[in-house]
Amino acid sequence: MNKEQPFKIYKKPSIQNGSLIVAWSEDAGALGISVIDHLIHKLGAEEFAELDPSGFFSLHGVSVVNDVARFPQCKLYCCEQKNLVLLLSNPPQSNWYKFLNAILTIAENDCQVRTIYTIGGMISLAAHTQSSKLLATANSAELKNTLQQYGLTRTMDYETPQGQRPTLSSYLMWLAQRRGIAAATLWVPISFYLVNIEDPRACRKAIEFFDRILGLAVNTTDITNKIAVQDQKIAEIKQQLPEIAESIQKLEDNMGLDEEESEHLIKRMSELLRKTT
Amino acid sequence: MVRIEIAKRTERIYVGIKLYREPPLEHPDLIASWPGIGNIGLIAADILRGQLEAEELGEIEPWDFFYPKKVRIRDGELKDMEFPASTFYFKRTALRDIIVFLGEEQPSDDRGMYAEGKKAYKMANLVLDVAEHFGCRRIYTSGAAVAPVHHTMTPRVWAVPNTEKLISEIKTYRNTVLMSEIEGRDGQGMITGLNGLLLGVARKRGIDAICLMGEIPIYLEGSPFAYPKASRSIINVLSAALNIDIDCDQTNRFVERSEREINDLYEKLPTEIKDQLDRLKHIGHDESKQSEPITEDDKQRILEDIDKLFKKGTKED
Repeated sequence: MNKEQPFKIYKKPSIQNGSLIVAWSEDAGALGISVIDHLIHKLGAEEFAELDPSGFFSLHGVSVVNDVARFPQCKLYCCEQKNLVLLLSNPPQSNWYKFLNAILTIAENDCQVRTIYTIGGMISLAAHTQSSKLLATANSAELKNTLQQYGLTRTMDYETPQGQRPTLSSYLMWLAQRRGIAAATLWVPISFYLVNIEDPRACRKAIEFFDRILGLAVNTTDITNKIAVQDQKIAEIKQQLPEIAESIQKLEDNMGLDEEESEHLIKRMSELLRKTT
Repeated sequence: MVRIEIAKRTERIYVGIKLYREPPLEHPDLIASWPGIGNIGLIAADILRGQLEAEELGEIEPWDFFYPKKVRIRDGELKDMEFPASTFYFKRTALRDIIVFLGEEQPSDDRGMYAEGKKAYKMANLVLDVAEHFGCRRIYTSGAAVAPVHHTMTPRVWAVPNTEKLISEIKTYRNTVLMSEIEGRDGQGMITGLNGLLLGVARKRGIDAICLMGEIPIYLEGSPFAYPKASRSIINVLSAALNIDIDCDQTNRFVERSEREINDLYEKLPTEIKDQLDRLKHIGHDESKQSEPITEDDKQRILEDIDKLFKKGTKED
């Protein structure tokens, strides 16, 4: 680790024409953590580098989440057999340019990464049971064409609205573009009432995409079981609380909810699902 | 446009600056401003730039300072990323050459409104690197001064130099006061953000600088509106100090429009609060009438009530 490269590299991975999957903690539906955790576990990926957080995160103290003190982290894992690198990180609070360039440098120089995928949860107004398409944006026409072959929705025009800022994933894609590295962001729909909890369906959808495009042959039975457990819990909640059942039914019938119904659904589902997790 | 990157002369200077051209400027004055309360300073500097028809001179590269402000995606493909701009402009006039610097955002480690820490210091030094490169004679920054004044009054300009030798010159400026001439200040104060920091860094480098702050009523400090009336006061001071003619028609129209908006909101305030604020008309700049000042409790109550109309902002710049 030095001033220019803030990553401490424990072991240089042996990877050819690799792919990097980047996920951010604090993502909607805990998508980033669940996808990377699943891939690490199923592919036996090993941690090989870690970022020195000073300079990127506020270190005035620690935050406490769900009764537990947290500390910002950014770690890289590799699965040499699959030529795959995984990165899970808290979004930095400052020096974003240096942070993202450090990731790109390690990916390009130490891991021979040729393609980068970032994942992000996208709030959906549909019910969790409704099928929704993944959305992708790419930083090159070539990668966009590749993604089209995997059925990803791609005809998206977008400009950051006034008062908002681009996502960190977009920033990473842009910097990768400047270095000639192909990058795409995969947007996974998360039902709005599952945003504060875990959404295993969204996680499986993302894993299935990576499985197909990168030939990972990763087992998703665990996630399917999680979906079944969550479905069972939601079924019980619907039985106990008719207004929740009614709201979800409305969404399944493609009818919108008013603000009060939406807020109630988010609040109750967050409370009850978190309690039973 | 051909962009000429200035060669890296030393470890400290010029990395991060792009100059588009090298005009032969003769000891120019540099007017620099960043956003702040009511965007008073930035509006003044921007109006000046427009009136002078100043041309682009260069920029400070944004990467180390700012998070991007806009991404453009077309048909699923990322096309462009836009960052807050920090741009230099220049104008050669018959009497004086001028450089204008406009910062679209203040660099901050935590995306706060005001610059602080290493990034702010680095930005200030880069601006001064360009100033020194062109042999600048004087730096002016501009911002806001939150004051117990009424919006119907003509805002004064608080002037803070970075060297004692400029005090006598400032005393010749019209509608301008030094900190020692402001009731209760006793010559003390704090200029937050880069509009102030640049003054200090310039002092460290031995460059003369003056910060001009247009008065904004205390009850408007957190309002989402611009306050061009104070910008106009700054422009008047600058045009006299720089010996340049500025056509004020456009600015006057801007001021009139802003005044109408403020009056509309003012009329919606509770009568009790309005009565309190109306007292500011009679206090204001006349110290002899300050026998019944608005107390801290009054001010607190007024601001709380104003908050119901405006989103609360932060402190002075």
